[in-house]
Amino acid sequence: MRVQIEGSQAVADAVALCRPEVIAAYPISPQTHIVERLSRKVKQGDVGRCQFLNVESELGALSALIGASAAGARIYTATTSQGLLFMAEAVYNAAGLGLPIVMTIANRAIGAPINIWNDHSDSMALRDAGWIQLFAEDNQEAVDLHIQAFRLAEDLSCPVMVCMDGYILTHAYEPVDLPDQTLVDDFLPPFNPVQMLDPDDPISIGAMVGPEAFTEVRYLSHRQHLRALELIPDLIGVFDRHLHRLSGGLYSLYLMGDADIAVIALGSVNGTIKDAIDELRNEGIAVGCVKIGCYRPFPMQQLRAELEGVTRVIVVEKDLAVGMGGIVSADVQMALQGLQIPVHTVIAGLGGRSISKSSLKRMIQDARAERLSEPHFLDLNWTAINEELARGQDTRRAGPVAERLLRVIDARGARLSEGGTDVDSTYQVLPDRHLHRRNRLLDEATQAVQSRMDRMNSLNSGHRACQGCGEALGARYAVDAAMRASHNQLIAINATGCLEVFSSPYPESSWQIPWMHSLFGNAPAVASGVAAALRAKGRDEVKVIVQGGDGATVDIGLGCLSGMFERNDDVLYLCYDNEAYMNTGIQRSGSTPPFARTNTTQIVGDHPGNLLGTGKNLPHIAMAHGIPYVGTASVADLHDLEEKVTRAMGLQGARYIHIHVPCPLGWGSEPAHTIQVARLAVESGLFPLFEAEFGKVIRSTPMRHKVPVERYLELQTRFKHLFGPPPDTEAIASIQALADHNIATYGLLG
Amino acid sequence: MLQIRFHGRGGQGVVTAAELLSMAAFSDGKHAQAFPSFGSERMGAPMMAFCRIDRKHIRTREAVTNPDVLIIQDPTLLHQIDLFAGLAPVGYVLINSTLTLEQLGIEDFLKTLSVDHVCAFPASDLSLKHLKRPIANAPLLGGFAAITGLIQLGSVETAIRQKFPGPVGEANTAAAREAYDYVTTHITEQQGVLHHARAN
Repeated sequence: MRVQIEGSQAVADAVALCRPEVIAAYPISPQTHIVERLSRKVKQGDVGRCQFLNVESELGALSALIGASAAGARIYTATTSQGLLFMAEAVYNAAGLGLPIVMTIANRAIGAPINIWNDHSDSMALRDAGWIQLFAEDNQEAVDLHIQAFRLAEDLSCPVMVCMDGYILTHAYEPVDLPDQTLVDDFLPPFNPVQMLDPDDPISIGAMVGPEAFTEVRYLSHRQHLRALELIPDLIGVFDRHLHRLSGGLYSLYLMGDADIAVIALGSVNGTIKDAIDELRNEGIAVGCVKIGCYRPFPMQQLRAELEGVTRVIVVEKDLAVGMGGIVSADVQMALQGLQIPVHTVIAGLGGRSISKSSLKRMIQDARAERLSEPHFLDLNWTAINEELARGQDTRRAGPVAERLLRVIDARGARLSEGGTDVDSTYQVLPDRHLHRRNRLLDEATQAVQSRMDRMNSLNSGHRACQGCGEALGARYAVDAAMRASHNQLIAINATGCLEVFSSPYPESSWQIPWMHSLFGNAPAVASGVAAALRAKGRDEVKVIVQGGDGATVDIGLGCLSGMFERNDDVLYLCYDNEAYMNTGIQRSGSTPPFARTNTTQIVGDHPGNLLGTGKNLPHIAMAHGIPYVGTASVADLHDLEEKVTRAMGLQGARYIHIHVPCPLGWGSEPAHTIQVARLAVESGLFPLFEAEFGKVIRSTPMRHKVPVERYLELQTRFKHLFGPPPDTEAIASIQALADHNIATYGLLG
Repeated sequence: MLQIRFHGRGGQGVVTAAELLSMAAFSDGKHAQAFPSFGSERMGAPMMAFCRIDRKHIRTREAVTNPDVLIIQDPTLLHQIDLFAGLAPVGYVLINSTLTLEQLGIEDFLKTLSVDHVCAFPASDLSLKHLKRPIANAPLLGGFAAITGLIQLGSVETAIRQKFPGPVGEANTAAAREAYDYVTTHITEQQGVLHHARAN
């Protein structure tokens, strides 16, 4: 059926038509819409007995699928960018084990500088991991390639990545023909594994191979890919017979019959290239294009045959081999070895820069006139580059180049005038506001840090947090208190997440303290390194904190955090817990409470929302490491929060504070109710405030009065389904039981 | 090919507006493409979305830099970013505002446009009336159908119902219909003024 549909949704529907049995996913933009829709379909029971695992990291996602595939299930996942790199070890492993895994890559750039927009750096980084890589030009092709990918993977016992441009395709609404289930079933027979874990036929999978056979094993993988070069063109016909559409293939040609110049590219930019070619054809320029649909294996012989007649080749690629040039163009040059055909490398569309038809036309004309540099960077802002290079000659000071570059670009207004760049937001940083308050009842010693005129305001105003953001508030409270306790000698490390994103990007930063962001899952280890360097340099007065959301803390970064704890590194970790992945658009984390609606625990099926009995208690996990200090705090109780941070800052070794921070967007609460919601979490007993030293609870903050959990739940639309009609009294009772358990465990009623 | 650029802020339904318009064009039998200029923006941050409508298959993927139609969902953006960049001289502009173009101080930007191609109207008020929420995308699409005549109001309604089945969809279609009538009346008046001016 032909429908107007978002690319991600179309791909999710296509994957569901392929009857996967296990899906494991970890949220990362711009992959999220695909897995959100699949989680809903699975939960609704639309995908048979398929299991959907909300895992704790990308490494976990692919690893779970390696197990599922070895157990004989048809499996699927999707990721992109940092996520693909985070699972890199498992990517190679899956290929080495010959497991027919299908994975969508919603192509996105790789940081630093962090960038969530489209290019092909991620797929390219793992091009030689042994996976087949197919690239889609539009969403119809993305749908078709996924269906083909399952068959290809299973026919060859080889994993397949289907690469589609992030945002450009994943978030584009366009017409897509979604096939009927019966047609897909005809094309794709049930999975019949070559080998599997089965008590009836015990085999060992994944054992060691020594030097005597490793090369042979690798050669056979190479042979398998060469077989794919024969199978993939045949699939076009098979797919057409069953699904009545010509789709896929190693490559496809556009106006190449009489072309002098061939433009070669992967993915969605081929559409814009074809439009440019049509216009140049009208001007009498004989140009055509070759879209590479299958990049690994690389159709070297086939391309050579197609390109023999041209006089010039231009490879447009959304990636960069730093210090070398093009990645695809190097492969193309190898294909054309010995032929006297110049191959131009054009690096374009990095980090989401829009590739315009006019730039492409100019590029082709410049190539004809021999005016292209090698490699050529499309729409490069030379003003900014030259200014930065000149400045760099005068100073040795190292550091991120991106911030200074952005200052130059903003000063020159180049965002608007450069051909390839979009109109972007401009904004003003509000001046620091000091709130003068008089007639305080509290004496100076008991005044909150926040109430003092001389507080640092470490996280300055003017940042991009949503209205009513609990995390922004919690971070400012905690870091201001830490600054005071350390006499302003503080360095902060930040995991990827909302706090990191809204407090930057370059050239703005809301941080008034030295602050660094590296990756999503490694912040505690980065902080351990900072602490070690300070010790090596004898700067014991400088203290280190780490900040992360619940996803970074309880899920993807837990390994590094546990390492920081057990080594008792001199670092304070602050977890701002808003109970889901809010930065990527509200997906379940290991901290999401039972019954809560997220986009990967939707309110469909027999158990709407997040499952009761899942999730983890990180303060207790921290306590189990026997570290000097663990505390829980809430943005609703400023004094309590500041006291805990101050106490923790006064101690040596690994310390942990877990701060409850409502998220109006993810919780569906009114921005004006943030403090009220946080307070009700405490007063209902759902978020107990306590402190522990060396693994033992030593103190809890008593509740003033106990309120029923409904008062807390009813302010949040993520729990709306519990209130009916008809109300889910059983669910509410089980949440009340959790609160009562906390009240009893921590003696919250005194 | 008709190219539409939407400007608004995160959380106002700007991306949905572009998607709905593409769905409406699709049910009109046309080819359509909609996509956001997505960032890591939070609620309230300036953002854009794009839609293209054509009689033939749309291949290009570049951002819309030369729109035929501008739909400005949040008038507080007017003097903050260059909303009118690249607007076609014979283009259309719809603005969600209770103020007039003079009060908004944007007459200079619109000099080349025909007066019946420009309309500021209180789309948020219509949404508040019908939905009880100030999400103005549906009335702006009703206004788009009226001012351009390039898409059927019925197709806009179909798209809205498809995306939001049930009472939310009905409330949105009611808001779109009222906006359609409001803008139709407005441009008829403007055409009268034009006609009168030419007659003189």
